[in-house]
Amino acid sequence: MREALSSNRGGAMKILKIIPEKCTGCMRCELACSYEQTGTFQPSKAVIRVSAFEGHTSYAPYTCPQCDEAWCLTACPVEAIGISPAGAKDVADDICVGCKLCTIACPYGTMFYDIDTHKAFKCDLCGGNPACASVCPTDAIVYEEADKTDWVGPFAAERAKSPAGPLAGVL
Amino acid sequence: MTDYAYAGEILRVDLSSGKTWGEKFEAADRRKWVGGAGLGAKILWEEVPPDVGWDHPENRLVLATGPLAGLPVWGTGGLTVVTRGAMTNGATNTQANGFFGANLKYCGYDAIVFQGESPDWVYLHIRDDGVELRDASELLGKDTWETQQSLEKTLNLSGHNLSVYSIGPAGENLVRFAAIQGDYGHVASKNGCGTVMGKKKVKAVAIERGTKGVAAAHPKALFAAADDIAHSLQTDPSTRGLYLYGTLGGVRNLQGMGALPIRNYTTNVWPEEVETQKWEANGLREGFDHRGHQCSACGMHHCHMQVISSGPYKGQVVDEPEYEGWSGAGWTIGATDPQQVTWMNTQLDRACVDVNEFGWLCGWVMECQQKGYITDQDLGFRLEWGDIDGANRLLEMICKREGMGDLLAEGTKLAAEKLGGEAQDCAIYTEVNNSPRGHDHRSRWEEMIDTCTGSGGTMDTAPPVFPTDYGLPARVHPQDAEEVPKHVGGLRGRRAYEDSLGACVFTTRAPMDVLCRSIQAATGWDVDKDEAMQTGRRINALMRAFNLRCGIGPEVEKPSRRYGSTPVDGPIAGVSIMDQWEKMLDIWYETAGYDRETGRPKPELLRELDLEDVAEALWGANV
Amino acid sequence: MARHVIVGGGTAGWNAITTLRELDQGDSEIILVADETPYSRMVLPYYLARDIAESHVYIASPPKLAALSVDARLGARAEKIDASAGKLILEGGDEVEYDNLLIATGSSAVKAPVPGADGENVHSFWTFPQARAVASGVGEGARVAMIGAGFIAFTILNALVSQGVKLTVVELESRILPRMIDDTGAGIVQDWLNDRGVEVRTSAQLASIEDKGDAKLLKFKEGPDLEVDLVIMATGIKPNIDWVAGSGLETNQGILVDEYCRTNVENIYAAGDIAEGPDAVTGEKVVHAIEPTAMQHGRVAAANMAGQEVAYKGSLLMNIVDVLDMEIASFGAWDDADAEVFEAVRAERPAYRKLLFHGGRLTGAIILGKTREIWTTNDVGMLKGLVYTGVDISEWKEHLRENPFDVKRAFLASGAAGGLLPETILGRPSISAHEIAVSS
Ligand SMILES: Cc1cc2nc3c(=O)[nH]c(=O)nc-3n(C[C@H](O)[C@H](O)[C@H](O)COP(=O)(O)OP(=O)(O)OC[C@H]3O[C@@H](n4cnc5c(N)ncnc54)[C@H](O)[C@@H]3O)c2cc1C
Ligand code: SF4
Ligand code: SF4
Ligand code: SF4
Repeated sequence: MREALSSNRGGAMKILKIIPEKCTGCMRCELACSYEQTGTFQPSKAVIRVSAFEGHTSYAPYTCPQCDEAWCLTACPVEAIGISPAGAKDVADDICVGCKLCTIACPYGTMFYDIDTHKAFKCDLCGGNPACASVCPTDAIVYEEADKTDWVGPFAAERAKSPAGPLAGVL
Repeated sequence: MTDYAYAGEILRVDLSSGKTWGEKFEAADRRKWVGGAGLGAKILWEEVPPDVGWDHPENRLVLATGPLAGLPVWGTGGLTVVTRGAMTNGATNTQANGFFGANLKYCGYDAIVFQGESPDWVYLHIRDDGVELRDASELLGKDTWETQQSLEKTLNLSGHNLSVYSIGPAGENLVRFAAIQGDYGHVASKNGCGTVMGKKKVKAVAIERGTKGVAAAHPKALFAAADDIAHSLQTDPSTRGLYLYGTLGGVRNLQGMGALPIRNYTTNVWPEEVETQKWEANGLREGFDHRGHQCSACGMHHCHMQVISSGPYKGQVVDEPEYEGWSGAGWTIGATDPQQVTWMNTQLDRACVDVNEFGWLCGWVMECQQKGYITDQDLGFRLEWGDIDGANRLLEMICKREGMGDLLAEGTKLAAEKLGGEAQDCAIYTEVNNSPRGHDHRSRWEEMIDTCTGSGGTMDTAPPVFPTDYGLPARVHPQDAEEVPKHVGGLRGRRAYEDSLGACVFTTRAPMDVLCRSIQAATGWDVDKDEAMQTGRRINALMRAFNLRCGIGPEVEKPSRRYGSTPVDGPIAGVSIMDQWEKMLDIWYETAGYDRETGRPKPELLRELDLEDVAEALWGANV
Repeated sequence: MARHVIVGGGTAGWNAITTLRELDQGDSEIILVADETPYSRMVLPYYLARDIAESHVYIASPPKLAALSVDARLGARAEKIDASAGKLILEGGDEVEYDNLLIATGSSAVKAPVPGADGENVHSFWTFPQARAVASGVGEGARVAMIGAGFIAFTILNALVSQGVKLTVVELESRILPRMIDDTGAGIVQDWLNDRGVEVRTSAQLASIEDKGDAKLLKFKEGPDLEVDLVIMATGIKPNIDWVAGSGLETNQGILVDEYCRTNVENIYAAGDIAEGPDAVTGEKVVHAIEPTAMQHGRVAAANMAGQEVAYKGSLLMNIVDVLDMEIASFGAWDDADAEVFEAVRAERPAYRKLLFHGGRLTGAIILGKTREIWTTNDVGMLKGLVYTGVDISEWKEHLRENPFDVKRAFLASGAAGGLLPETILGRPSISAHEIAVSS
């Protein structure tokens, strides 16, 4: 059996590496991302999203890890999702019918639906030039070859467990 | 599209009737008034007549943002509060950052204007498909952080998905220097803006981040300008320290020039037993487990949260104090343990008063106790220099208006006037009742003259930012009676313009050309630095006209006895500002284009500023 | 060369074809026996809404099938299986020998058994021809009765409303969406519909459909008659299983399959709506007549047919449907009476969350809220992830009890993402169907 050649199997790939310890919750990544996605500054439509932990003392951005299974891609009944040269699972707007199957297929919560365009949308790595990484003032998001790993999980677990002082309980 | 950089609508709230409605922010008004301070000044002038005092229901409370808010320029979540304030009973122009402006614009509004007075305590809940006044009885008595936590729970939102700007117990009980605090640590503190909010029975404004977008005329150019501003902040010698440490560097810098207000201006000498290294910017930061807690789109290493690392409050999460906190909750009241000061500072934010005014008040009480002008019986306990628990007790008394707290809740000036005599002589205030910032202004003459003449409840011009942009010298000697007023008057306008942008005063500390490029890219206007200055001067002139109409004139433009006294020790011992005061005012008036006699902006200035109607109102039709 | 015979070119069949070709690039013979050209049924609502053209519905045309070197017998129907001879017998008598046989014949719509159900202008909405028939009958002002308020009915509701019809939804049970959400959720949706001019009649038992001129007159066991121009019957589906009788295949509701999508008969596989396979949460065998299951079954079956040992973790029951800008989704065992339940309604939005736990594990969930709001969160997919992985979130239980809306931080802190990242269904990264081609 021969091995198929695929952009998803090309070995090392640049991904968005997230270093949550550096995030200050300024949400600039969301602004830049929403601009890439919609042309306006509309963070509700950013596909990278920052959460707060331990009250307002810790933040971390989170976006599609471009998972190998590509649940979104395989779920799509009209094959609207492809893999871009940058290795991102990418929705072709002219094919997507807006059925949202990909949004429930993706177990990472990183596939969204745009009520204004009636299409699904997700991180496309900005075609290989990620806006979120380039605008992050603290380099908490870096675009480089790295493992697809859970960058935020351990940080979230630690920061959620140790709420200190009067903010305890406001998670 | 004409709505670049603006949501395009102003949210009106009539608390008396409970009605809310949107009003168009007319495109024609935008360039003239920009937003923030400008928009507020316009509303104040048009809607608050002289007989409507700060506590009158018809007073307006304007919470406004501006064109840069919600865009990727650093530090653009800005809130500007404009109202007829409780301290001066004149105009107010005071700022806080956080995410107010960004979240409000994503809901489709550039500003909120309160009018009327609610019969019951309410909070204003805003999301992009609805605005509602809701019962706030559950929130009463809660401090500002508790209020935000409680609303996070009620609304099931966390992080920056919810912005809450509220008053604390101080505002509820009409403490005259009550402030408005938001998003854990951002305080619009001046002129009793929180008192006005309390009088209107509005406990909080809760804004759920909306889903609407803000468009920029030239988004790519906006990113480029934002990067250039950031670059300037990071590299220019005048801002690099701010970029790295926020205002922490202030303590040691100001101490060096004799401008650290130690123990209510009784001395300018650093106490020997206090380790200087601890009070360097890096020392202050290293003393805590601290984490960035930036405002919208901001890359400054400025706002931080920190955990108290030792002492009785160990483990508590607090907001890293600004310089003003280190002085108001620290040096001014003789406290020199950073762990304690940082705790007290957050107590003040939570109870929600102006940290400067509290410092002057508490320092004054401490001195009066020491000197026997206020006895233990008067106060109910003994309050020594540096006693943080005592200071906190004083704060509680003030917030609850308990015992002498009731008098102190009126602020330093009124309390001192009430006591009179020697006690009054120790009090730091201005006759107009603008609270001085947390410096010893006897060595920073530009700030003293600015604080005494300011029409917005605080300084109008503030520290000179890139004065060479406007042909002024890069720096002048802080006690040069000729150059200082020229500098202050000459740069007048820049700050008011910044205060109208929806941005932070720290992140707008870039060369004006660069800043203007960001505004051009955001709005599509061909605004340049001269237009910016002109606009700022217009705003300043209008606020001054408002105050004059309220009867606040040049007669109150002076420091209290202690505030204007001559330092007895330290780097500028014996140097007297009052000897030069009249001369400085003469020059300042001349430079500002205001009439020395009446205090009015001159008619030709008003015309030049496109304020024909104001000229007429101040000078009559035929001038 | 192995010969794979696939019956049915719907989602399961088509995914099997692409997976086979992904794995072997043409190194096998594939015969597709299908009475329809491949398409996914769930695209039909968008056709009805006139969002997309007919051509957009088909995922594979005959030339595309040929390019993948598939011997496509379109229009042919399988009639029976001779398992001992390894032969499939088609209607008309043709025989097809197979090395591996995949049964992916899906299900068919069932009409309510009332007089007049087979009359004119009474349609099911399950196949492309049925969708065409409905499409030609609806238009601005047309009065339409939807019989059945289940999931399929709701998938076409938006399309109908967008065409300007006057819609009445009729449901036998006391509430809508009985198999997708619980009472609380259904109540919110029902109010939402009423506020938007869609009439909903629950506990209404249809008695007959009569002609009244060009119109249809619906009579009920109780309550007033209803006069409409068109009736859509969304009254249930049944697996297309009858034709396999006598083949020796073990069946229950569907054809029973193991975690390799194998039936009890050697070299015969089943996938999709027709298959009764393992459930990801309970491990029990179930029919999940949903698209993702058909897709995964098709892929898993094909991988095993191609000689790879690929065990399937099981399918997750999940649905999402948008009703006039209200999003409704449910995952897993959302209707489990034995579960510990945390729920909260935010009436003013409206929004509703229900989380079902067994110990520290989320086993089912319902999420409901305005479309404009739900997608500002990551919650839809994260709920799926939590239910699917069964990751331990005991530490977050108390928090979620108080605030079932705040799942994101529980998800992130649980490490669910880290557990998922190495997981792939076929043991290898997926590729896009567009990249699949035969080599020669
Ligand atoms: C309107 C509508 C909306 C839907 N929306 C959703 C949704 O939003 N989400 C979701 O998960 N699911 C949805 N579904 C269900 C989903 O489409 C099915 O679960 C899925 O199509 C099942 O795929 P399958 O391959 O098993 O069967 P099918 O897609 O039904 O394919 C079976 C194929 O086999 C053919 N066939 C049957 N018998 C024979 C025979 N004897 N010989 C030859 N060929 C035969 C049939 O003609 C058909 O082409 C929807 C269905 C409809 C109708
Ligand atoms: S929403 Fe679009 S991309 Fe997602 S599954 Fe449906 S058609 Fe495909
Ligand atoms: S959106 Fe979800 S399923 Fe798709 S690639 Fe990203 S993580 Fe994977
Ligand atoms: S790479 Fe682009 S699309 Fe992806 S999260 Fe970053 S900004 Fe958004």
